[in-house]
Amino acid sequence: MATAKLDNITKVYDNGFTAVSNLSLQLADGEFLVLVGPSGCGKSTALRMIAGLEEMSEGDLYVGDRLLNDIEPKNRDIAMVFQNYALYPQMTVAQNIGFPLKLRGVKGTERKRQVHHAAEILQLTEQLSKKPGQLSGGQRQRVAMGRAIVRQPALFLMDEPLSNLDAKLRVQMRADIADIQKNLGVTTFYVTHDQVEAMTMGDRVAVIKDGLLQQVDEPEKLYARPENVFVAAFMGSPSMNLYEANLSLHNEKFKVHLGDQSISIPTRLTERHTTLGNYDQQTIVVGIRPEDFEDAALAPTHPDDQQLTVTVSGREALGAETLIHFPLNAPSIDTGDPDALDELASIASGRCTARFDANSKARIGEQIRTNVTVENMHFFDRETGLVI
Amino acid sequence: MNKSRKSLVAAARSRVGLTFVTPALLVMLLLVVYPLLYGLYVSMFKTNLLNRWDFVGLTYYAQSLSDPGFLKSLFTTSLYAILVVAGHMIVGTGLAVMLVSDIKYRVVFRALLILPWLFPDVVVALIFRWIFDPIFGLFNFGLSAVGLISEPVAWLDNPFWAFVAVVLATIWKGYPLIMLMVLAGLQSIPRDRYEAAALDGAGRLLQFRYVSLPGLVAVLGVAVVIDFVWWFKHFTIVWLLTKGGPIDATNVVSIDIYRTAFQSFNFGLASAMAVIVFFICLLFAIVYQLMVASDET
Repeated sequence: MATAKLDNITKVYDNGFTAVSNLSLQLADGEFLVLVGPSGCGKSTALRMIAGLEEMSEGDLYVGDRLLNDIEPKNRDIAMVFQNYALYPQMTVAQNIGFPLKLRGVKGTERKRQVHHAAEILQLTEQLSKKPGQLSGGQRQRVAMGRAIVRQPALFLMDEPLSNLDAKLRVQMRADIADIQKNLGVTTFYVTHDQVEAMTMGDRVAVIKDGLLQQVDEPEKLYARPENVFVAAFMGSPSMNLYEANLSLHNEKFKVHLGDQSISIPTRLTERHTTLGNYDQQTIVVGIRPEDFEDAALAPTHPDDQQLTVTVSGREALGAETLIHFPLNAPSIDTGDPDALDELASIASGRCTARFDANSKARIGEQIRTNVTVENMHFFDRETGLVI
Repeated sequence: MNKSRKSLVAAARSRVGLTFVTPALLVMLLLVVYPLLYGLYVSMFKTNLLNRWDFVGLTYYAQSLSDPGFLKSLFTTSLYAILVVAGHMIVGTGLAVMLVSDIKYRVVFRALLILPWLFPDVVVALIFRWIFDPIFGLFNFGLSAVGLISEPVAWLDNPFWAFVAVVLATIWKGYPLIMLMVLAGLQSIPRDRYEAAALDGAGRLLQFRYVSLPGLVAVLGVAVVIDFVWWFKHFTIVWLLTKGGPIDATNVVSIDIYRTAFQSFNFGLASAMAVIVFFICLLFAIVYQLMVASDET
């Protein structure tokens, strides 16, 4: 158990490609930090540099007070859980978990005790004499975890450990891993492309894109106060709706012109956007999360000037809620997320997604009024993409 | 009605299947099964293969199995095959491990190291005859250059060294096959398994011991069988280097069979000996299969 510090870590490959640039992060003792980003953003490279499997081009890495730059992987006191588990197929579960202890010269009986202890934590006791080939994906995942925790390392690294599990198991393992991590109190660095994992598991979440750190914060803050357009769009599912809009200021009220419609926002509700006034008569980017829309028929007291009139083009009833899609006659934004294929499609159609209460009667083809929770709207500079 | 239709479909299906299998089956029958059965047939006759066919039953089998010369040649062959296979495994695996790592000019090395496999047996034998030549040979030249010998040694005339020379030549000729098989096996081991081992605390050697070797067990097993069966029957290199001599030192069983058939013209006896060799190879393959099967459960 220890703190960890990444100080301006950079990776430039021989062909000149910069995978990670000037990444600086600090992990508190026992903290669970999730590094999240789209595929190819450099997050796995960052993790592999910490493990020592990849050389750092620049920067310093500390675990505790120890500078690890030139230390071999086996001497770093770091354990890693791999995406494909990387178990030793010829060994039993017990041998797999005990392997790092064996290499450290831990004697037979003591090793057995520690392996059993780890197996108990992970509910693997029944499986100890089986080989990895006889286990399910979830069990293999646990063995990989066991091999990591039995060492009581200074730092835990996890490289998309849940991506090979089916959806249901993933939800369960998500909670299990977070639980185990809390109980053991091992400082953990977790990499994923899944923002749901990031939101649910991390004490803090670091969002990375094209090798550049975008924002580090607690999940709730990251969601509520994204610092730029990319983070805004990346965190949350369905994504935040982002459109270009013209802003004007009249009688203590901002007017946001979205295509041929407009929304009024009393200035007292935009106090945290201190510089919004500077954008009077300019084009900005506005973001509205799907849950900040509501069917006006269900909340009729909502002010008229905080509503939009839209024609429903798609409807997904999810049981607890209903997703409603409708086109908005305003230019969409390319947020720079390479994985967001569906986002690209929605740019073409200008599609907007709203999360309505399950009682909404809105049907495809109908014209409806939708409320907008204006105090939750996000505003970004159109040129820099940074929050206003 | 339903049932008969089902069986009609099944019959049609198996007819289609048979049609596809037939060409391969015919070739197998012609090239493998027929000679095998013919060999078995011949082994039970005292014959000149033309007009004289005297049935002798299993006499020739009894005769060969009680012939100390034949038994000795079986022993020589076993020793030869075991040493050759061991050599192939060590050299082939060693080179494969080197080729799989990131060394400079890897492609060049890979091409060069496959060369021996591409040489015909005859060429290999002649190259090694020259290497071991007492007067002009590279071997003696090298040894005398570093002062290990003072006058030429006729290596191939010494029973022990002739055997060693034959084994060395065969190892040189045959390692590339094993090297390629092991190389393919090594490349199929996922990289993250090595990385996991590295983080678990294993250096290069331990990674080889706990990741490479276990990952190669299946490949090496197949390689051992193929290689053993192949070289157990080998003739060319040994014949060209030593003709089985000196004093039977390199008299492998294929040379024995060749002499019996084409120098003594005892085709029946030679066939019986060949059938015995066939069963030895078969037995070896079966034992291996059983070992693999028991390993999997």
